Amino acid sequence: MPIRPILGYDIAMGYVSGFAALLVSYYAFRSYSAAHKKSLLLFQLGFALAGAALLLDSSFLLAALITRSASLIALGYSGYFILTASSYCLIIGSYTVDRAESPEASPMALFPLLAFGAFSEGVLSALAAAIAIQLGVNFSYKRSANSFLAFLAFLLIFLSHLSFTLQSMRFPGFLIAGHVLRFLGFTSLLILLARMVRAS
Amino acid sequence: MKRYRSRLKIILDILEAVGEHGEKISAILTYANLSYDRCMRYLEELAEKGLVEKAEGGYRLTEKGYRFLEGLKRAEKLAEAFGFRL
Repeated sequence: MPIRPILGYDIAMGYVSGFAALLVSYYAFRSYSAAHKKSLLLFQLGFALAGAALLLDSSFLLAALITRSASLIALGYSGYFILTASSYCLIIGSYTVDRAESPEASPMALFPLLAFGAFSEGVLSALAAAIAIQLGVNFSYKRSANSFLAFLAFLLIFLSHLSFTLQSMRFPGFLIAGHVLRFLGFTSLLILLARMVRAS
Repeated sequence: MKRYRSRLKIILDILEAVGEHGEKISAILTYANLSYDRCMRYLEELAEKGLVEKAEGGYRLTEKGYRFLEGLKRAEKLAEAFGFRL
């Protein structure tokens, strides 16, 4: 497969997804400012890191494309992995704090890791799956369109990490599937935000 | 099962009651689902913070109260979507 079109596609999707994550982070920060709940602050920080990770990865890919330096791709991915893993830990941690703050909140766990390839994407898959399960449980109770969109978003993000895992296990076709799924996941978050802004 | 209602949720319900369901005490009591004494304690506290003010026959939201209510409603929607409790 030609490398330039794949990188160009990856960069564009990464930037859009990154800005979507930062928008969610901003919205969560405004919610934290109103409610002063620590769980919302952790949630906001989690999405800020997720957005920063995607923007960093895309920027390093763009720089690699311009300077023709493949080592930048590995460097960008390392930053992306550390930030994304930390982001998911913070989001999972936000549910733990929520549980501590409220006797009725949902239970979750947290654990961080680091590396590149199938293993690292496998770790991110597990973390994204944990968030998706939490949101799935939430949707099963709430049955609202917004809770469904939140669940769908992390289900798609989980599937995207699963695709990246398969891609790095000698199935290159899953690279595009992974990017499409991640893009759709963050698009779902954008739709959720649009619905909330329109309703308020 | 009886659902636990946090202090923040009670405040949100009271502000919604004052802002959207009339200024009369009886309407606020009905919407916020609180006893008279408890509701009055909350209303006095909110009045001290400048979020509501006394009006003829009840209370009304101040400008600060409207802004606070809008912020809380946004927070509630986000919390509801992601499974947090206010």
